[in-house]
Amino acid sequence: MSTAVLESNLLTAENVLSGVFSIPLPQVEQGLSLCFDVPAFQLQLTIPITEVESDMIAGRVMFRAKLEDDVVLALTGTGTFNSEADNFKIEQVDLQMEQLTETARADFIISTIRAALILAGDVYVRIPSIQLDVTLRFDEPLLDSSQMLRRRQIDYRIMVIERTVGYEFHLPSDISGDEVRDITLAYYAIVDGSFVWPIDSIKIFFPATRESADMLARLRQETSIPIGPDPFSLKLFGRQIVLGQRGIIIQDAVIENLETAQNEISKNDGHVVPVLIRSTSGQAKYDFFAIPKPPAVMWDANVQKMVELESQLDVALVNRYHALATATLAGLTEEQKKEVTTFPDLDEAFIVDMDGEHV
Amino acid sequence: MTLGPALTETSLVLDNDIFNAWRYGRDQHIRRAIADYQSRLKLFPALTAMTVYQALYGFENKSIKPDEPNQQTIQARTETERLSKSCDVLPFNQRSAEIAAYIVPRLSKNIPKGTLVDVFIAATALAHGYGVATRNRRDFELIASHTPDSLILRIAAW
Repeated sequence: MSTAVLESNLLTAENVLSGVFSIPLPQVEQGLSLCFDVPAFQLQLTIPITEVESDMIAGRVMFRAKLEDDVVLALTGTGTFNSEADNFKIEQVDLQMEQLTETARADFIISTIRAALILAGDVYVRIPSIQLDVTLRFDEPLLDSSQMLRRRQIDYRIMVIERTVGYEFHLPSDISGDEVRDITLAYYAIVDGSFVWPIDSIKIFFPATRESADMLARLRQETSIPIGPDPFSLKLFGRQIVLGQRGIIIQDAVIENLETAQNEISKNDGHVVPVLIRSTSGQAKYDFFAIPKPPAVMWDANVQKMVELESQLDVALVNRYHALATATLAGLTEEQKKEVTTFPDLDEAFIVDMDGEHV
Repeated sequence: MTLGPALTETSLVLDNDIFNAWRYGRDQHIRRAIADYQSRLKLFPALTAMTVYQALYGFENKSIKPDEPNQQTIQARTETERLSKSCDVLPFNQRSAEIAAYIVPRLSKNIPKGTLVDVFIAATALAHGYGVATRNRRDFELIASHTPDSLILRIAAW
């Protein structure tokens, strides 16, 4: 799996329920603000407008607003200029979000705002100084919203790691599956400290001595084999992250090369013998010790507000998926439902006779 | 046996029985399990191409009958396509084919016919590094005992 960090963050609302404002537009110096009200999530954002570009004759006006140093929102209204009434009626709104820094924080803010706007239903956007008040509804495919929340989660985990190790990463344009795995591991190490993690096999090395032979004999009797703790670090986005010490307990363990290892160790000449331990259920318990702790206060007010939206965003998305799943059988009788959900045996479904009929 | 539990971060595909139970919407346990999964991974469980095939087969099979497809069937099929497009769909690719080809000859000739479908679902899940959410643990245990290269089939019993 990989997660693209950079993409076009454009949302379009074609169904603008209101949106007429008078002209001329005031200057930016007069303290214009773009205000979002998202009642579904009790979210209000007031973002200072830094630039206005208007070409009303051509039917377009754009407001750029800057959220701290991380994100720019560009709201573009397209519509009709009415010279007699001296006003401009917005008929479509595009909202473009750009991150000014390639950081998890900037991406987290964009992902959160975008997910909230898509999942909220009605969104109210106001620019009080020009009495602009529009009601918007953004509609995006569910899969995009789901991927947006996944991306937001990865950003959040990176931010937790950053706050804990005291370093802000410069994110690449694409986060690889291996990087996502390392982010997840480091996050759990910091937040939980002890957890079950997937593992296939692990190779450890014994000197060929009598003590090792005794230890191997003991280990073969065990279904949980402990290893370590040993110092643990991993490299994330080119930077080494030190995560204290890690102890591993391999569960449902078997020694894959037991006979060979026993033979080699029995030579008792001190040479190094690899021993391959495999978990038949593919899991190990990881215990981290002496790991850096995150600070007591993790986020500023803006980010904290967005962090707290998580469960509401989840519920809103899950409800949409559940509704779509039940819509796949809506309107059908019980008999019809059974008919369309009873699966064929493979031979029945695949085998076709010469006339093209099922045999 | 190369069977393992689905861990916290294990990505899952839905077996057909779970997919249908979700569509019926009556089983609160399934709805909660899907919500819990989304809350952990932020994604929804994936579908295999085999599950999508079978879901669409149901409608096509109905559509060729007299007086069909009626409006309800068309609408239900449209929503089914929307649902499958709203989920990640894992293709039955080269690796899936290799895994399925390894498993099938090693199963007893007397296996229930449905097990063959489960092999294709399991092979697809294994090829893409996914586990399987199912109510039919026994079938998948049988399949897991014949996976190649000691691949571990992770099961979530929903």
